[in-house]
Amino acid sequence: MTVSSLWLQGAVLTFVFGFAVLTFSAVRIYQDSAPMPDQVVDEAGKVLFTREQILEGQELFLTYGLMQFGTVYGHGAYLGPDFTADYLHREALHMAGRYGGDEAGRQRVRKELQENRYDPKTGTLVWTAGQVSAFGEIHEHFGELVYGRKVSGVGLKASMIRDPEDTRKITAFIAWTAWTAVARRPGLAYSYTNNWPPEELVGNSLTGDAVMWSALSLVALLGGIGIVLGLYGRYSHAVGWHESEEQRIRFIPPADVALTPAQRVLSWYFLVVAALFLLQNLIGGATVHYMVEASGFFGIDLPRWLPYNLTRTWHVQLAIFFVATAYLAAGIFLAPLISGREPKGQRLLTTALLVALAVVVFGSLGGEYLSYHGLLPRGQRAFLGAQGWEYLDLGRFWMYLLIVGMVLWLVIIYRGLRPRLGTESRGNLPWLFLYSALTIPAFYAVGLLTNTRSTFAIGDFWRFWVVHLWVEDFLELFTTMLVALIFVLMGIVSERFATRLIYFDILLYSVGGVVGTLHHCYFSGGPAVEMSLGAFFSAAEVIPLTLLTVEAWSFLQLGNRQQVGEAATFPHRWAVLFLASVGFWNFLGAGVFGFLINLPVVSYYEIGTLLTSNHSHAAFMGVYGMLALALLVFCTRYLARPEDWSEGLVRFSFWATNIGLMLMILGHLFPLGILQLGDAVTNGYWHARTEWFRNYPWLSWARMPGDLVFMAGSAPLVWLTLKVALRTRSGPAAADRSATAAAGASLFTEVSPAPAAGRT
Amino acid sequence: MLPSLNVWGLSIDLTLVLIVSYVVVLWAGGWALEALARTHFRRAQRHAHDGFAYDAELDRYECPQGELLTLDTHDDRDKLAIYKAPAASCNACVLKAFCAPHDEGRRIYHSLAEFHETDVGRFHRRLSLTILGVALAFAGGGLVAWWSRPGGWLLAIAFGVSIVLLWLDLRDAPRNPGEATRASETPSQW
Ligand code: HEM
Ligand code: SF4
Ligand SMILES: [Fe+2]
Repeated sequence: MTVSSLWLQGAVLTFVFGFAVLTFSAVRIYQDSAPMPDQVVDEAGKVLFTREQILEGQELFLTYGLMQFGTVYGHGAYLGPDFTADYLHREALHMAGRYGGDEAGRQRVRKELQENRYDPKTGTLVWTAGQVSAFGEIHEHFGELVYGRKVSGVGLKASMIRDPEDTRKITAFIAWTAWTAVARRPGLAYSYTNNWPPEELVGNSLTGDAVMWSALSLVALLGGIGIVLGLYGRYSHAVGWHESEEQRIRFIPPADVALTPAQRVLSWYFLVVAALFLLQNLIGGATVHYMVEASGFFGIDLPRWLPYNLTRTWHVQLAIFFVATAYLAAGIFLAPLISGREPKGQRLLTTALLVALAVVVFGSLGGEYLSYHGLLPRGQRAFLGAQGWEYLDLGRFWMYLLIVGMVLWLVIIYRGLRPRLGTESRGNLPWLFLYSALTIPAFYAVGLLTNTRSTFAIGDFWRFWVVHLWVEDFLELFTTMLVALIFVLMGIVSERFATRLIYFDILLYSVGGVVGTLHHCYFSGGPAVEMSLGAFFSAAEVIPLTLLTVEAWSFLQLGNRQQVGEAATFPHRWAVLFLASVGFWNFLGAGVFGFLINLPVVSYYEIGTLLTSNHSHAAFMGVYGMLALALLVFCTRYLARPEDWSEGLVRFSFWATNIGLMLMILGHLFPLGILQLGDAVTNGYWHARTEWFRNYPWLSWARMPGDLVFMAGSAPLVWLTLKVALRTRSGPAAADRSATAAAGASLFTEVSPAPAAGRT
Repeated sequence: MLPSLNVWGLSIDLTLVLIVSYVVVLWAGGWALEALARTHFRRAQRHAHDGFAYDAELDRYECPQGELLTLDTHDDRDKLAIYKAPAASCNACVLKAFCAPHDEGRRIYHSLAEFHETDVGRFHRRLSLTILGVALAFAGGGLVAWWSRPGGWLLAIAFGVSIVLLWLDLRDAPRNPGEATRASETPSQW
């Protein structure tokens, strides 16, 4: 092995530890999540609805895209209300009115709602007369607001869901979530959701556990940073990017690097990346426009075709697709560089994968359209249409296909690396690259455990195995992996140092990131232990983020030095700058804005507000979006004929996307998020998600400049990649190519001893 | 909308207080961003020659074995000074394998570039300028809205300070001569 085998053992151990704890919590969630009664009856014993109807309601809720309109338990989209909190608030108001509207009435409401009248033996939940009559009134309200609007509004079209049976089931599902939010767990003083949402009328307030674990979480963060920085100061030489002697190297001009047939196909991938990115931006524009004009787009009745929930879904799905496509392409691009040659048939497989991707992307977006518009037969909605779980929105069929596509990608990578793998120890860089690639489809496949009829807490738990473990663990790893490989291939760092850094990364992310998944499960009906574990471990996630930023700095400095030394020949100025921005946004978007909303005491009021939007834009676009662009720029540099390459376009994109994102965040999402959080604390969560939301249209316009600047940054990349796709560089002559390939296609040559460009 | 606060007998709109606070937070954020980036820059520069002591007076480095590295090349255009140890000493040194794994004698590349002359430095500067720009916009927007209302003077101050800060920050990074020459040589300038 290039590095001590202790690294490998340590990495495996922490990894196993992390997943052992997470598996423990999986067991607990099956045992202890909020129960779904077999039937809900009134005091006379008349059945109001059954478990089957609640589950069907959830399925309808999801497949009509309502989780991409509003939220349940704070999870979903932010234009609509939080259905759980809204139901609970209206229910309490209705009951208090019915019971006389005085203090005694209000107390009775609190007592009735908190009392747990679910009998696990019979599976029966009894509702009081107040609860029963509230249901009818709220059902009507949701009917006017959502299901059967008279005209387009709140981002939705008129008469969206017509079947009265269906709408009643949806309300039953929402009512069940509201019940779990207030009924006290047997023998305990708090509800199934740890008293979320905050709602004075029903006596929901922060639990002692939430406060205690927030404090412990802070301790974990500070202590963890202290320990790690201490160790790091001591041993940083073992993991850092420092070299014995910086070699003076000369980069091979991109036009002289041989391209393999499969690599040449990738120019189409990058065109797809750029086009999806642009489309994603434009649809994002339409989505945010609904915040200021909920009934259309500058007067056009947009919701008839593209309601808010659909644009929001596409916006989110396209973000995943454009980033994923860039990753897949970069992996395929690097494989022959690592192994030095390319087996036959890679080109065909690479082309097949592109076709498969296109089918999944456009097929799934189309499926979502059909499902939300109610154009699919009932049995097909979740399969061909949309499953509707935010981020796993696509229909199950498309999910299978996407997994097949990712497996095909693994095959391509494996075939590409095979010549080298045989000669390397299993703990070395090429193998690590393969393992890291393997985790991406593996953890996407976990999403199959979630379906439209999973009990919410359980479905949501598995959903976050995908969402969270991707972005806060495996993609972070894959990112370090790609960047390290690129820097090794460019001769800026040695393989040994890169390998250590990757192990270090695995260690740190496995401690915090894996168990940290539970920071999404504080309040969705799982047992309280999820909150404790989630708060405690996710705090540790901030450590690698800060530390790696420090490291990234040192190493960018290396790239920087090369560039200072060889300004004329350093071909990756902009790719390196995009990487610098990845480091920056990782620190700000993930580290600072992520931790800002991470403590249970904050999350209790904050979940599902614009402050989450603030974090997810800064983190997702800032880290993975910028990385996708870095990869695009890096690879396209080799694919382009010199006359087609344009530094100017890339420079413009770089500044526009970074400055645009900053303006979007600081001009809009962050200040508005703080105001909304303040409103949740003072006026209640339901208020912050409905009444408050309509109060600040003028501030929503403050979003415009940032959005426009940002979007301006995506267009030039489409133009650039289009040129490159149409006229991909053919590379040196065939004879040449085999020669270069055999030599192990490196991207640099060493130039010592003569000091280059000596001008004294 | 938000209520009013009573401070020292003055009634001040809470919204206004929030805007001013936010502007102050942005000033601090912009400053912190640049300060952090600069610190890391210096740290990374130091790391590049860990174990070697620089003697500014005599302009040379001393290596862990006490050998002296003298100025070998001074590349003005690229802002790089290269120091070199005598090849014979390194070839006979016990640390050779780790320190100078070739036969020409250990070199040290000393970057003479200032923070704001490097790409990464410029990136962080521009972000911090953007942040100050947002502060200016909030102060300016608030000033227009509160022009003739009580408390408007607070925003006037915030606006003024934002301008001064922006100006100071811009002035802090003069386009230096080196950069100007390079701009004419390579098309890839900012
Ligand atoms: C690059 C890394 C990261 C990315 C791309 C990312 C992305 C996201 C996204 C897209 C969401 C929204 C999920 C939803 O709507 O349900 C989210 C939520 C959240 N993130 Fe992150 N995140 C990252 C890192 C972090 C870190 C390091 C922390 C804290 C230590 C964190 C804490 C949270 C919390 C607490 C939420 C829940 C907010 C809510 O549900 O309202 N994230 N993140
Ligand atoms: S190799 Fe040369 S520079 Fe390095 S410690 Fe030995 S003598 Fe000093
Ligand atoms: Fe997370």
